[in-house]
Amino acid sequence: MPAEEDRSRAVHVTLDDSTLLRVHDALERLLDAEPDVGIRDRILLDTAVAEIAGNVLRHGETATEIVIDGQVLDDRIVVELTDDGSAVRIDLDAARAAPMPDDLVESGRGLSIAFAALDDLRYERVGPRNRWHLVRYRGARGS
Amino acid sequence: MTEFDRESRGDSVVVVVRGRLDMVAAPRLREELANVVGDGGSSVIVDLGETTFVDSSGLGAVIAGLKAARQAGGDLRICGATGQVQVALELTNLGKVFRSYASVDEALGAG
Repeated sequence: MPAEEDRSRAVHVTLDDSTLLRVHDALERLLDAEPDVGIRDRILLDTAVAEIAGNVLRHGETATEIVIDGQVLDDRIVVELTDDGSAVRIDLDAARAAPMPDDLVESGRGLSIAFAALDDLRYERVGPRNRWHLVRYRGARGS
Repeated sequence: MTEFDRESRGDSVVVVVRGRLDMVAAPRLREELANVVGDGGSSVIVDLGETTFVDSSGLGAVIAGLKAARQAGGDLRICGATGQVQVALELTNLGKVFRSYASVDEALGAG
């Protein structure tokens, strides 16, 4: 992640009906800083970030904001989503290993989509905040 | 604001989704598709040609519409998916669940 002096690019997004759109806009600005990010990498990161931010909106009852920060590196793009909601109870290893829900199931695909779109997804509780760490290797998986 | 338009084309009803189909808009699409089927339109085409983004909630709403249409003896087809919407269908393997077409006319012709 960026060094402390570089953290001014972090965007704070308060939670309301426009949160997902503003998170999307913040991600676009972050990726626009590096002109040669491929369209498929953009799409996959956008897709994964929306699912994680959506989970915060859906389950983070006490959360008031999401902070999005990230870094475009030569070989990968790292995005960090932080929120001030209560701790997330999740077994990420089990979620990673779980198959995509059956075709006609209407919910429960969010994390599966994020895992499918990313090369690494980690969660940690840091003090009073949840931190989601998303990594996409550039041009990975044939894109 | 995501917008939905409904248009009758022969025996089918086309629902056009304009904008982002995320967890904010998904409940409204779910309701719209339930209303279409409730109004007797069991042959439904969801036109995603102007849909800029879809998340798991949006996909869930379309699946709910597919199930409602099938329960009414009909079907739901999708068309026009490109960009992120196409990628989301690939990631979830839902591209094989929905009958997907390039355009409304193609979907109508396949009906």
